[in-house]
Amino acid sequence: MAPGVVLVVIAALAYFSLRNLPAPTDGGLGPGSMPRILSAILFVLGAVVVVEGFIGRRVGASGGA
Amino acid sequence: MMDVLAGLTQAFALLLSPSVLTACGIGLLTGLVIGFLPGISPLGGLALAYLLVLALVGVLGPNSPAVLMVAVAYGTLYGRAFAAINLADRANGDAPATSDRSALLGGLIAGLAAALAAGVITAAGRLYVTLFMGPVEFAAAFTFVLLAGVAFGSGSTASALAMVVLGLLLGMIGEDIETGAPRLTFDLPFLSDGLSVLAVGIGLFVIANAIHSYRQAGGDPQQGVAPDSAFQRVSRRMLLGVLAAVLPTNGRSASNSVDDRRIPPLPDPFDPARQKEVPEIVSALMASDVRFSLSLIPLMVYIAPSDVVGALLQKVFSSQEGILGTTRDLATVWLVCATLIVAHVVPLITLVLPRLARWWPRPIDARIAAPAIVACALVGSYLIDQSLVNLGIMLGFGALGYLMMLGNFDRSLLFLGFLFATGLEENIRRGLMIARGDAMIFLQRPISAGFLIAGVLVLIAVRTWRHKRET
Repeated sequence: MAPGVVLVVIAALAYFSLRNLPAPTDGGLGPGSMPRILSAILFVLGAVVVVEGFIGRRVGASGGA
Repeated sequence: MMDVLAGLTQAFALLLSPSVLTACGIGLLTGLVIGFLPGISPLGGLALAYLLVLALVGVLGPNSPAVLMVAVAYGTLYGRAFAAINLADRANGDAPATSDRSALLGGLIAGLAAALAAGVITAAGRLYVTLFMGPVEFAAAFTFVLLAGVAFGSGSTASALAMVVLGLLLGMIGEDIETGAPRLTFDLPFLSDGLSVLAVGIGLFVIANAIHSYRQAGGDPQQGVAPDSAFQRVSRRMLLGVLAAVLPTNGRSASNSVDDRRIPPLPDPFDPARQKEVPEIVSALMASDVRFSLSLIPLMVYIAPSDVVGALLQKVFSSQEGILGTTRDLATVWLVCATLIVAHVVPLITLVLPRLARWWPRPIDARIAAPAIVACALVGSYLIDQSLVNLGIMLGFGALGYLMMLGNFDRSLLFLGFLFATGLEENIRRGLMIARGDAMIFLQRPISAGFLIAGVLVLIAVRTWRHKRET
């Protein structure tokens, strides 16, 4: 579960640090577009890893049943 | 046919020049030593080779770095096999069997054929690639390799994907390639040039493995596979080697040395150091040999590197001057091909001769080798850029890599994303510029759509197969 939380925190920090970058230009991506998209994806994936860890713990605690 | 002979002749003439030949010799010797030492993965060996390239680039001349990298990669492979055979022979006290020598000879012929085939296929294929591949197609090819990497990587699908995305984010730290705007630097001046490939690579694969092997010292690092008949074993693995070479990430991502706790690891028929019996080691070595030569084809035809090894080689190819200044240069292909041929013969001799002489060097204790390797990596890195910050980053990634090993997160995927970040972003931005911001262009172009659909299909199919295998 902890690695997932770390990933979520990293994603949030990255997204926050990109707030001042200029918006995308016409017909293309701005300097912050790709990192913003990736941060959002990482946030979601981190949350999934947290859920996986939580489920794994519960299964482990119930003896795999 | 004449073009092949002319290309090879020119390449061998270049390879026999003192500086390039010295680079080849140093690379092979370094690779053999790295492979023999405990606690260094093949990727760690390549990260150290990158360190060597940076240290020697001014001394050895412009055409040497790629030769040195390829030689180290091959030397490492044979060094690992030598170490594994040494351990097996010491345990058994056996003389080398005739069948082992026959398998080695057969493997040599197959390896040489694969090296030559890599050159011929590349020379023929690169014309078509340059005609049909644009930024949209290159971006899709990079995405395909990353998705396939996730398919074969360790850990759950979400964690493997997360490693790729985290690697891409880390690769984007620094100034934007088009506008120069600082990104993800958190106002820290030392991050404005981005993270050093050397610091990340050595941290993740050398320091992390050194910590792991130091802590595991005394245990049995090898995982044996049930033996079967010699001919079947070698031929089946050769076929596997060819198949794995045409798949991105070589059919699996390298350097996963800790067992997956949630999903059983894929069998690794390609790593000699993970086999116990000599025939198994030899057949794994030969399969790896064939696979490595063929896996360079996508890199050399300039589509995309098919794995971390290729991505690191591309970094060296694209950064050096001289005849290898661009991978589009046909002379590059033939020089790499000539290096592959030479790199086959020399380590093979070093593998056979000690066995014939019944000389079995004493294995080195990981508790001695691991700190020595880390010290060498740190001192070497500091001598190159005199940066204490980079040493700190290296140690930080070492700790991260070790934690990733314990948590079963795939370090090679993180590094693959890190190495691909610039190329992927650059091509996506160029592609969108061409399409005036319409992202559908990636699905409208047939080659691009083919890469993306194939990537998703490989990911779903392989992960489903692994899930079924687990249950």
